[in-house]
Amino acid sequence: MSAELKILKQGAEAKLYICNYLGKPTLIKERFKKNYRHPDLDTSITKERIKNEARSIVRCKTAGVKTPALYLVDFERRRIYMEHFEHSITVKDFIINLKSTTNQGDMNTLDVYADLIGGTVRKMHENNIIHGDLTTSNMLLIEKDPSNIAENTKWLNHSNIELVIIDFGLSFIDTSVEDKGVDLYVLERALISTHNDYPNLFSRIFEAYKSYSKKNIKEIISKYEDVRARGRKRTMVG
Amino acid sequence: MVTNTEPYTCNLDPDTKTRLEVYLYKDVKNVENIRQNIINGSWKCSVIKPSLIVNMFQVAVAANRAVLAEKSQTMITKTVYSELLYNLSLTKNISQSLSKFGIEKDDSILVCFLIDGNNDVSQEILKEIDGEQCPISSLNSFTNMKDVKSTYKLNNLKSEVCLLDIIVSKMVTKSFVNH
Ligand SMILES: Nc1ncnc2c1ncn2[C@@H]1O[C@H](COP(=O)(O)OP(=O)(O)O)[C@@H](O)[C@H]1O
Ligand SMILES: [Mg+2]
Repeated sequence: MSAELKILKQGAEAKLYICNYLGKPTLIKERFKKNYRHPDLDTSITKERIKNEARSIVRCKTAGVKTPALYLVDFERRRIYMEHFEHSITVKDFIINLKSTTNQGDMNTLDVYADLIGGTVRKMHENNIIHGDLTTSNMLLIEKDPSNIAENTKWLNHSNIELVIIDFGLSFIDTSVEDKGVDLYVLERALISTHNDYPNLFSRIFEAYKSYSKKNIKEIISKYEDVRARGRKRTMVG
Repeated sequence: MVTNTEPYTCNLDPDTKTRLEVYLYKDVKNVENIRQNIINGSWKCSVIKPSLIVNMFQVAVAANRAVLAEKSQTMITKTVYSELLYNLSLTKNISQSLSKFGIEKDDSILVCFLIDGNNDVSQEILKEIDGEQCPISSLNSFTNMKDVKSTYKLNNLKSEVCLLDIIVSKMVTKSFVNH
């Protein structure tokens, strides 16, 4: 029995482990106890967060947005057991690795992914799934059919690449237009701070978001612009 | 009759030290007798319809939750064997779950054992089954996709998504998501 857990990452809210579970490569997300909270409150907050995360992951699947499969939700051990994409790269790392090339073909690939991201975020929003933490670290690229292409070029082969959305820890289900605007604004801020060398990335994503579906789009754009104006003001005031 | 009929096996959560073993049979002649042995609790195993199973992993996920619930004394049903069936379904209605995934008049069956340490009763039970054992690799010829789709509410799905992924993800969230 391969019982040993390998720690992958220790974040602010959770520890991530990888292991083989039920015969599958598995990632375990374990939320820590917060000692500054009353234990009962801590347990109930953790339980709610776990439920939210799992609920959004399943809802995405029904909506046709690829997310990790869930193998076990364990409130006692404060864990979600999910599919581990062993052969994947975060969109963040993909973009950072692009720096070394200035090849036009590679830039077209980035545009393809920007369009994919825009359409995918729109699909989530049409199903009232608000991600809450849209960053390029929370998006993975995986191959549809595993290939033997070398690591540095395989992620450029966009016709064989799928986008996976992860980390639904701050997600929730809501029909309001406001929350969608905020979600987009969070993404814009994240892109500015992580990928300031690609200043047009957000607008490309946003265009794809808009053209994916027309439903409510005027209201969402206007909410997004309100949120953005308020955000501006806040940063100017400091 | 002994052919290439290795069972499906899967080690369940390491804290439970339990292994799942599943055997597939067709043309079973004594289904009613088997059903009685399950209902009266004399057979320590779960017997399920193969028609609603797309992949053995689906059974492993349900069995895993069953043995964990037994360990933490949070089972919804009376035995770990009925808990396995309950975990396969999306409804919280126990009798509906058991009748949906359990056997009725079906003459094809999956027999699932939960083996921890030295209480392996599988061989004693299997020799009572009057049917033809089939390789696990033939499972898909028993799967009824139409029934699977209606049971797991997959009719309006986008074709790209993997059915097994969504089935297990729905199964493990049924206690707090209305599917
Ligand atoms: N299912 C997964 N498969 C592969 N890698 C993953 C998976 N989930 C998370 N990761 C990796 O771990 C990182 C952190 O995971 P995440 O769920 O975003 O937790 P955190 O709350 O720490 O941000 C991701 O950016 C990604 O690199
Ligand atoms: Mg993250």
